[in-house]
Amino acid sequence: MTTPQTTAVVEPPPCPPALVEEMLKLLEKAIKAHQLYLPNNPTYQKSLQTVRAAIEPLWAHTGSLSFQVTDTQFKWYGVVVKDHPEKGGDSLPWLLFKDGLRELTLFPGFEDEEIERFLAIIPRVRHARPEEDDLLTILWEQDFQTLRYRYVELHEPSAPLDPDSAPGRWPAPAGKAFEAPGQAIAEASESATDDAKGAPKPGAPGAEPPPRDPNIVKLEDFDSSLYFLDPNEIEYLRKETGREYALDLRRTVVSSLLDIFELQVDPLVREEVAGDFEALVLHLLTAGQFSTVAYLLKELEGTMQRARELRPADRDRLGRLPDRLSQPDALSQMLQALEESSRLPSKDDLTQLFAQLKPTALAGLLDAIDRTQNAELRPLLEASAERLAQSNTSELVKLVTDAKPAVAREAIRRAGAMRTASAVPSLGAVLASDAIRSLRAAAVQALTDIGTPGALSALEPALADPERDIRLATVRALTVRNHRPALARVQALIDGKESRTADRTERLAIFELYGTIAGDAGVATLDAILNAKGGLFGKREDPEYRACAAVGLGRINTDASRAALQRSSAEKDVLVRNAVSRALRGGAS
Amino acid sequence: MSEPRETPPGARASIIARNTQAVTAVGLGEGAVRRIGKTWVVAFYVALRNLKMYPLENAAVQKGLEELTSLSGELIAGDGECEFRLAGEFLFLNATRMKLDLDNYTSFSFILNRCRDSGVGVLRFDERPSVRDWTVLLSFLVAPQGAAPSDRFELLQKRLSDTNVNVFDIAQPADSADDPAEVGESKERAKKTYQQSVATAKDVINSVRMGQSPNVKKIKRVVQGIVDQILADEGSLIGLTTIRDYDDYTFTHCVNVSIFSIALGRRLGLTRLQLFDLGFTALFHDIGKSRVPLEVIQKPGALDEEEWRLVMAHPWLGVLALFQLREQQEFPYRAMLVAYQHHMKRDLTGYPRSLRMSEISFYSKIVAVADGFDAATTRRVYVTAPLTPAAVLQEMRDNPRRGMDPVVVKAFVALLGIYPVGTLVVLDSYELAIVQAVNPIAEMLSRPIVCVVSDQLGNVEHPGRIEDLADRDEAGTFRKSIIKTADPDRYGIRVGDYFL
Repeated sequence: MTTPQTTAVVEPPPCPPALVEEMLKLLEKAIKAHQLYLPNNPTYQKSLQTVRAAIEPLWAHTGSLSFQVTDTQFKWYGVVVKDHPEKGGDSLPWLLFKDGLRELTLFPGFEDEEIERFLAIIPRVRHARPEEDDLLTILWEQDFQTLRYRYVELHEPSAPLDPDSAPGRWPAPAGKAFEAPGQAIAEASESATDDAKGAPKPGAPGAEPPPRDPNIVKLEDFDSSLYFLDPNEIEYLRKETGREYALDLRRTVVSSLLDIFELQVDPLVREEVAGDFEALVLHLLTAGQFSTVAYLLKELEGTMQRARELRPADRDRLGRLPDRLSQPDALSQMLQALEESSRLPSKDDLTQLFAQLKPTALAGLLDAIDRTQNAELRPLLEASAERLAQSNTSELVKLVTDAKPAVAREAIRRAGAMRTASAVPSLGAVLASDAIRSLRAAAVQALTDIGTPGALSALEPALADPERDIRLATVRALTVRNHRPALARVQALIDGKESRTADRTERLAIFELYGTIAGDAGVATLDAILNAKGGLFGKREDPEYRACAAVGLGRINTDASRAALQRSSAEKDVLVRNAVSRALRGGAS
Repeated sequence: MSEPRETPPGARASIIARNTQAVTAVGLGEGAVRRIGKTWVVAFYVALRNLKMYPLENAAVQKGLEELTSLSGELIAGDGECEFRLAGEFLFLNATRMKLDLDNYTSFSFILNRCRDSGVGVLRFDERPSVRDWTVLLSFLVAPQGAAPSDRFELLQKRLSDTNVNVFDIAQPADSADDPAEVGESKERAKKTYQQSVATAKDVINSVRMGQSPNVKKIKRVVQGIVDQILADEGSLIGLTTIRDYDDYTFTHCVNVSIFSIALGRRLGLTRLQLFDLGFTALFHDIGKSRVPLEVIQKPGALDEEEWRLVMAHPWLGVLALFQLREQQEFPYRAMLVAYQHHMKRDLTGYPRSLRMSEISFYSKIVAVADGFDAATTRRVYVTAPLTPAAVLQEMRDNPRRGMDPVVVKAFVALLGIYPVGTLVVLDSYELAIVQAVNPIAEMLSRPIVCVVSDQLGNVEHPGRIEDLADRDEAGTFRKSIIKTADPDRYGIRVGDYFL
């Protein structure tokens, strides 16, 4: 090992330093290009070729290019070939210097393959966080064959390895031995003789070999075949190496921590392990190790049941771990990571993980369901949300009026699908509020699905909703459910201008509803619309409006309604006549 | 700050070789040489093995030779020449180091042994050898004549000359052991690596004891240093494990176990980065002891039940201690696992008791062997009479109750030899000697390289003389043989001094 020359005479450079200086400039450009462009980008490729072309001719002059690295410069044969007075992220000398590198030497062939790996290292080091590997470790891992470096350890341990400094050493190395070796040989001979004498004769019953001098190594004990691994053993080692690297280290470490927690009753140990669990869960989630988190939480549940002498404080602390996972921030991070991951964990893993979520996670899950574009993830989220919603309807009901429309919408949808009667007041509140259209529409659907009288009553205000689709959906829902308590509101619609200004579909739906829920009580109103000549000139109503009334009468389907219909059976207007005919035949529309 | 350190010597060897031809033709790139070279090495192995097993006329033999001839032609066509060189435990082809892995482990080992046995260190040719040329050369390598490798080398040269095989240019290994300057440099490097490793281990354990986070970057650097040193010169570091200073036992033990594990991992075909993982985990295997009271760790007498309970807690305490290494992006899971499992047996008995483990990790098995060996052969405050290394190896191998993996133990024995490095032996010349290195010739594992440290009367010499117990006299008889192992205390010898 040599140290950098500081006082030695500097030899003249083998070629003009300007060539080296230019090469370093191009190398820096290539580093930048590597940062900015993908490997197949022509700009990067060009910069790479340029620096290669600058390096290659140098080998005609020298067998190596060795640079002394200072905090601001590269020196070559004592000449400054790279000067970057400012220390900082952009300075190549500083980048190398700060991690301890003091000399960098390139050899022929560097420009062939290893240059690209070098270019990749620099940005990595530049952006490395303090806890990440430094330049020296990264260089070491690369195992360069055409790049050599020397470095200083910035925090050198100072303790020397002095063989005589430690007390209690045994005697000095040279001098007279305590005993002549001949004595040992004599003992060995005796032992060998004893061995021979005492050797049990074949077939001698009960004969036991005499104790052997443990210092005599019998070669037959070490059959020479021992020293060669046979093919089976090599295969075994190959498998073992593969197993080592296929091992789920995190899960195994979690297992060991769980063992420690379960078997060590010392409260201080358990307190420490609990802290480690908390830190571990965070790390595992960050690393996307969802199945391991699920394993931890699941095992922890059993562990807490089995562990002896577990203090309530520790039980509470660990019991809160799944809650923490279900907190909105933690959950949204996890779900975001899942959404963005290029390869989802296995379905089983995710199912296990989601099974550990608490009701507080429901909002996050519902939000994710609304947003997810991942077809694989969606059913898992749905299943998990359903599990949580079913086991905790109060949480679901609470979310119906959540400030986040996405959450509220999913909660409303789920409340309907689950026919959650307790959600009716909240759903009614949504309809009564100035909630966005999609929420109101969802609430109508949910109340329809729930279908209880209370739910249908809660629907009634939607008859006056400003949105035509919502009104229409409400009318149809009430029709299907034959919700008579809505008669007063519907009567008002018929009597008011709503039934006249509505489009044909909505108008027809209103009359169908009216006919369905009014019974004979509605015949007079409808008969008047269909048959009466009103006004100063005895003009009849608009044919389309009269046709709707005919449909309504058809829905009532009583003697009185049929009589009213009969009166218009000879109607001249085709539209009215057809509607009447259909109503009399029993067709609603 | 210390003086600058260099990149791995292994890499340097390759670079130096490249420099000799730096200005010459471009030829095959390093990647291409590695690719073709890997196939060439396997072809070389297959041809050698077939020649050893079957008669020359056998189709498999002929096919193997033809394949080797053809691949040699490819190499020459690309690079203009083919130079096959042995350097320590490495094979270089046209100055490119061939990477050792489990796929080519057998072939590497076989070729190394055959070439070493015949005293061949370099094989060079710049025109394509014929099948006949290969037949002559390889036939000698599989059945060499002559006693010592140097004799065999001369006989091989004569054989090639007699049979008019002139295509090969062969040379003996450029044995670095013959170059005192290089030996000294390697030893110095090893000492420095060892010294820094022990100091770092001390820092780490003391930091953890005080509840501080140790400097992970520094620890990584230390393990990288050990890996590089093992790859460059395995023996120099293994020799230093014999220092075994019991006042610094906890620290030297961690380093020793890391060294043994890395060396063993290398024998098992692990890659450089895998060796790093293994060495890193091994360095931390006893970190849990930093949480056991010092008075228990350093107690000179027998431990009572409660004290044993504390000592036996160190594997799981290690897991907890390693959670303090928060500087890392990730927790050191592998190190945690090894710390937890290194006292578990294959059947999961041992300690600590586990409810959930279903198997022991491979690295835990390796560290268990390295740990068991170093602990049993070390003098400690509470172990005043350590076992001889040979006895420990035998016990580990033969006593199933130790619960160690037999294949790992087997490889460990192969690493250390019948007489492990650092063993004091009595020679039939009435001299005392310390085993310095396993004999590189596989058949000579019972005849290690030793340092003779006393004369026949027991006068201890320092630094002693290096001798190869595989050396024979003119009659072909071994010059010296081992009679038995011995306890260094009995002779007032400090084994570690002969490795410093």
